[in-house]
Amino acid sequence: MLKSTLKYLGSLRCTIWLIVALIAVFSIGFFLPQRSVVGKAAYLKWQAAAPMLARVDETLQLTAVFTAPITMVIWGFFFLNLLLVMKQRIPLVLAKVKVDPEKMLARHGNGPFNYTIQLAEGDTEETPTLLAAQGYEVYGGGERFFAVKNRLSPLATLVFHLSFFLLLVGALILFYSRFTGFVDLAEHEPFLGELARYNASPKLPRSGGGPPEVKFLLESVRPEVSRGVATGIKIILKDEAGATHQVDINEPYKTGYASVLFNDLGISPLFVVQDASGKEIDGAYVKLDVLKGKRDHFRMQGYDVAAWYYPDHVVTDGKDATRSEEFKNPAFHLEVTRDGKAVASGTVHPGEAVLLDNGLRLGFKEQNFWVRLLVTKEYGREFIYAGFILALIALVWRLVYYRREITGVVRETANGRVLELCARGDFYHALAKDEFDRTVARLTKHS
Amino acid sequence: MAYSEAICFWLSLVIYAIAAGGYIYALVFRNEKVVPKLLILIGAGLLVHTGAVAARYFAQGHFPWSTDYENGLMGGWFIIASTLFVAWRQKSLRVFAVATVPTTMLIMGYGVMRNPTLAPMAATLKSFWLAIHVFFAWLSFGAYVLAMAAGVIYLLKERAAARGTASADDRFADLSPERLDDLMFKYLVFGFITNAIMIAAGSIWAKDLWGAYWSWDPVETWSLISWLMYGVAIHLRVTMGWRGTRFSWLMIGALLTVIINFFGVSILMKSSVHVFKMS
Repeated sequence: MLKSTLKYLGSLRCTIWLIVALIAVFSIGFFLPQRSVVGKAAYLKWQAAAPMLARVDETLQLTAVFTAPITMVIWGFFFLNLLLVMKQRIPLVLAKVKVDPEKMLARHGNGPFNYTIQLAEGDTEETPTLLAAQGYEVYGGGERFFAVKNRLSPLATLVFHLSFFLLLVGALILFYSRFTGFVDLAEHEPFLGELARYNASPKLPRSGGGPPEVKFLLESVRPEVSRGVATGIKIILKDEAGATHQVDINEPYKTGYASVLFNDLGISPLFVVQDASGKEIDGAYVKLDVLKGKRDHFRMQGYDVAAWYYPDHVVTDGKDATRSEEFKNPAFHLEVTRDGKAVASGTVHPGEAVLLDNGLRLGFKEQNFWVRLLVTKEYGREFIYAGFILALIALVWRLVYYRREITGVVRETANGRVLELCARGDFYHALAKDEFDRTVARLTKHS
Repeated sequence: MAYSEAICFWLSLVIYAIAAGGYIYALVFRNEKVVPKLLILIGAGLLVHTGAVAARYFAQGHFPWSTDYENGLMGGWFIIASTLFVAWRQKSLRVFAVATVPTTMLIMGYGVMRNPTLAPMAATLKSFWLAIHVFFAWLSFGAYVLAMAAGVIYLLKERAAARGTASADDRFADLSPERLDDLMFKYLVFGFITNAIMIAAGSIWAKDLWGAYWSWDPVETWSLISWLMYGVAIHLRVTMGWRGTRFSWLMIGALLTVIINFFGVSILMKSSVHVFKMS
């Protein structure tokens, strides 16, 4: 029973079924909302809209199907199948690449392509020379030979399978060593890598350990927007040694195995409260999430302030609006309340203020930015890169530089001496035949 | 869409439509002598098509490689260029245009109905790895379409032979079923390798953009499904001996997964990080 199960698990038919099973599982992940992909709000909305379906899916773990036990089991069988296939294939492949000309010549005449070339006197040695010039390794002499091109190509099958194990090792190391955390920083704010500074729930490495030792000062943030499209963001970080590093979208700051990536942008204006004489009695850079028309609020001196932001402010039909997403004429519309009672409202540009009660003023002094940075650290990338590269090399090696074999035997016939050629190629039939036809035509021309 | 681009785009589409009509005529009326002339027409179409790509490049300052329209424009260009390339290398393969030209028309037509608006390049798309990713995506798409075309011709030949209207060797006489069968596999192999490079380059890009090599995003998931599907096809061919009719249908069916990946995911999924917003 165990033997037959292992035999089936090591079969190529099983490989196909396992790949089909993976396709099926991934398709479920494609069509059903996945908690890790759609975001919490969208997931809860779907859950509320289809509670029954959501319950069934959650019970079967179909809403986290990529890490569901069923998927892990299929992956397990997939790699077991790879191992067993490799175990079976290794001796076969090694036997194939190890040339035994006599064994090959014993099969002479059984190949799919057979040719007979009439030979002139004394020209038998030319054929091996011509084949060698075409990239064949020739074993034997002109009278009886075995020629092989891309002899080692079958090894690529093993390399391809090995590459999957490298990817697996890399993925496992990466999964268990990965740290991710978001940190919100305003311009001129330092970050010393403390765990407490990260936003809620940074993901610590499963293998243990804490956050990476990444320390820097956020010097400046310069977003670039053109015709409503975010075309870049220049974030300058200064590390402990005083060296500056630029972070942009697609260009993280990398230090060792840690990366610091731009994730989100917000406005960090300096608001101050002044008394009737103009003296500042309070002030702070507040981090507001107000881009794309969102409302945010902050508290200062007991006032609740709701804020709307217009990066390129304009008044249209008496209403605040923005001409574009470019930061050309920033302005805030503020609505100030105290204990639930409206105190003041107004739209302010940098340097302007709204009048509050008791002679106080709420001023918008300057506009800075804050950024949400994603800090990650993980190991294992070397295995993943090596896996990718080996897989690609193996695919090209096996399927493009495929193996061709020719056996040649000179025989005496009633019409004189003839060279009988028997050829075979991996994978391709008609294309291999074309190639052998051309080779034989060249040989015939020379004979 | 820039004015000159619009002219070139629609003109190329008209030329392809005429060529497609010509191919249908050649097939229905068994007048395969017109095929070389149609190929010249397709060549002219490609020149105009190149004009559309160039006009868009100059109008927005970067290669068109992001939106559905740009995918259709460049994907179509690669399919037609691949068709002409294989036809130039081997005259017998000129007939592939019977399947590739209508496919190109469909994807270009679909693209232009979506979002042909000119826009500066979003920062998310400014990456060397993205350029590699997209280039190899188009190469694999072109190869898979050629494999599909070889499958279609194989089935047409077989059908003609089965009906007794022509023997398998009469129809597209210089393309034997064995050759078509091999070509399907050869294009599949080329597509599979370039597809693998596409996935690898994409995951390196994703690491710098989103902080993870793989996030099971719908586009990532579907591209893996598509690659695995072609992997199954290679296995079926190499280990189970699938050839001929079955393999032709497999090549036609598998192309659906690629089309869904290129164009369908952005319709079906709003949560994909690959559905690049303009702001």
